[in-house]
Amino acid sequence: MLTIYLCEDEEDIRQVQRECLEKQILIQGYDMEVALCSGRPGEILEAVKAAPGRGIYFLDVELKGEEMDGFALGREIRRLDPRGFIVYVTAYGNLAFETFRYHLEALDYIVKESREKMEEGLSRSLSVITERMRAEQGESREFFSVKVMDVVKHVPINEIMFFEAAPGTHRIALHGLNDWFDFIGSLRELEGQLGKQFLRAHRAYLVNLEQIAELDLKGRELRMKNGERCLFARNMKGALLERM
Amino acid sequence: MSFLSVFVFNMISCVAGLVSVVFMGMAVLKVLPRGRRRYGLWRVASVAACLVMITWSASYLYKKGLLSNFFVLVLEDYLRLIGYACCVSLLFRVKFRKCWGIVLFEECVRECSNVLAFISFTDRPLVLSIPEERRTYMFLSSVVTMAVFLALLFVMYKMKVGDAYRQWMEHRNLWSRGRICLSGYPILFYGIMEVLMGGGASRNVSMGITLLMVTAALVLFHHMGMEEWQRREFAAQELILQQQNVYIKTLEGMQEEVRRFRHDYRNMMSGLCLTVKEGELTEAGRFLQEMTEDFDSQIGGQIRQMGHLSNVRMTEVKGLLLAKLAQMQREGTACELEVMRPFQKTRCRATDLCRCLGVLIDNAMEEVRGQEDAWVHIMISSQEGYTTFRVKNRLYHNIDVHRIWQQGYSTKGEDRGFGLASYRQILEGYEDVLPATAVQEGYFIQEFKIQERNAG
Repeated sequence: MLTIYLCEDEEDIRQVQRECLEKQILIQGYDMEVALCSGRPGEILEAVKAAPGRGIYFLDVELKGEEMDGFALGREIRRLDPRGFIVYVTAYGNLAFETFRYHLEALDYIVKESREKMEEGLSRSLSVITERMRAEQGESREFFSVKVMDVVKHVPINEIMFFEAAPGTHRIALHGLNDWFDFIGSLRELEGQLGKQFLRAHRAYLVNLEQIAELDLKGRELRMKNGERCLFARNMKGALLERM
Repeated sequence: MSFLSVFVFNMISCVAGLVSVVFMGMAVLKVLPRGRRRYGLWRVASVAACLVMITWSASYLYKKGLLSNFFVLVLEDYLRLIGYACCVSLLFRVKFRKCWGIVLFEECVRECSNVLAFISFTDRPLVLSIPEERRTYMFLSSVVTMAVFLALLFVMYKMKVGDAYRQWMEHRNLWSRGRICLSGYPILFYGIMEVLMGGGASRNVSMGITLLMVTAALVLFHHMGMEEWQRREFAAQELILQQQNVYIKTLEGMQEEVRRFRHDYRNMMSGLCLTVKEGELTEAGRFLQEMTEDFDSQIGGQIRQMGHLSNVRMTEVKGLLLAKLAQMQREGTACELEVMRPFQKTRCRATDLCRCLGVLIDNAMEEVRGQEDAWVHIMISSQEGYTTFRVKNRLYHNIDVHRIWQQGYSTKGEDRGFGLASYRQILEGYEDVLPATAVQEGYFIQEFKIQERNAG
């Protein structure tokens, strides 16, 4: 069961949204429940703290007369519920939505232009969330999550080729099928965290054994399935041949 | 004097020299990072080994009496300078190139103060084997030189020579030439002195002339550097001015459209009044809806864009974005800019930042150019002490994420793809900037994040 929280400062609109959500839940038979509708971000946060779990949050971006705006509220909610679904509701079409998505992993946004559009948006969000939940249940991939400054990035472990340490710094580069990014960390810690699928083939490389395509013994190079290459140390040859 | 006492004396002056280099780097040139840091054992050991090596070689050469040889003298000088630079590089984890610059600067100033001290107190070379003369030598080379050194520093501080030198060092092209010339300084210094003394001039005269010549050369060189720097600065300002003009033009265009809309709106309003009077409320509602949408499509979008743009408070970046937005508009590429919170400044140098951002935007524009649904999204986000620059575009080719950094790799054929290689190179110069590249749901995303100084 997913709990729905709604934060909207105008009472009429809040009422409309609540009715619409309850109607949708009833018609579609979603396994959801509207837990709290409030105009005060503090109240929402209290309720989330009191009942931890995965929730759905419809948040107004502009909260008049409140200390927190929708963005700040979203950030707090993310801290409490990293896997929840956040949907923003705004009066203006000029929402910087990519920024919301980037920092808060917001799912969608709804413009409260007219009652019809708002209802349409709400029911679309609920169906997208149901879709997501279904896809997640079928999902067998494991993800590697890492904090890069102020955001957390997730990469499927099976898509990681290797990690490369830059000499003289704490910088690590993740080389993936669709990703390549730097973060601060240490190979030793990653080695412990990632387990047997990864091998420290070289002082500077932690390699995903399942992604190795071939071993170039002469050049002491590993060729990965995406065509990328990395080095391995002389004394790791045995371990590589054994575990590949 | 025994080898040990020479060694100890040399060690003390060597450490003092290193302290002076560090002081120079921190207080005068302000290029060395401040703050506490942890040192590993091998780092401390390497620094100690470096110091011992410098001291030992100097003491050995002195005891063997080889220092009177010109070439050995110059060689010993270079050995010492390189040693200092290595030590500073190890201690502060700063690139050797930078340390070498600091060491050369310090050496010039110290050598000048040394010469000035000797010129003003003695009139002939001191014979170090006579104890009295040795004492004078030590006094001159430590206390008096120190005093002159501090006086010189004060003068330089007042004249802001340190700042000029730092700016010079930070300019890649200028500095690479300057470094080569400055690196020849010890050879030049001892060389001229050798030639003059060989020609029979007294020590003081030859020292004085050498000092003057070297100083003149340095001043000239410094002046040239400053001139070049000013020329570039001027060119950059010119560019900003041009971009400002574009900005003003855009604003004027918007004002024109608002005026036109106002005219239309009067007509629409009178139409609306009529409809309401006739009691057709549904019709009136539809009419209002249409009008709002019209406004949104006509100028709402531009106002929105300008609103985000006005959150960019760094003139250089604003100029760059304006130019790129205008270019995309001409090319028929839809571009969205998101700057939710005001973006004031960043640690990254403006020129580097503009180059990096420019490369990313150019790249995105290149990929979508000529496509029907061409779309580029630019986001600048300052949050909790971090700044993120992110450029996203639709992808029409298959891209190998790991190959885009290779020089010359491009999905658009040969002779392209040099931008990203230089982008990477620029970012590697910054410790606290992290780049990221991703292909996600048919979009290509490039970003770099900067950790600002006060971030926790």
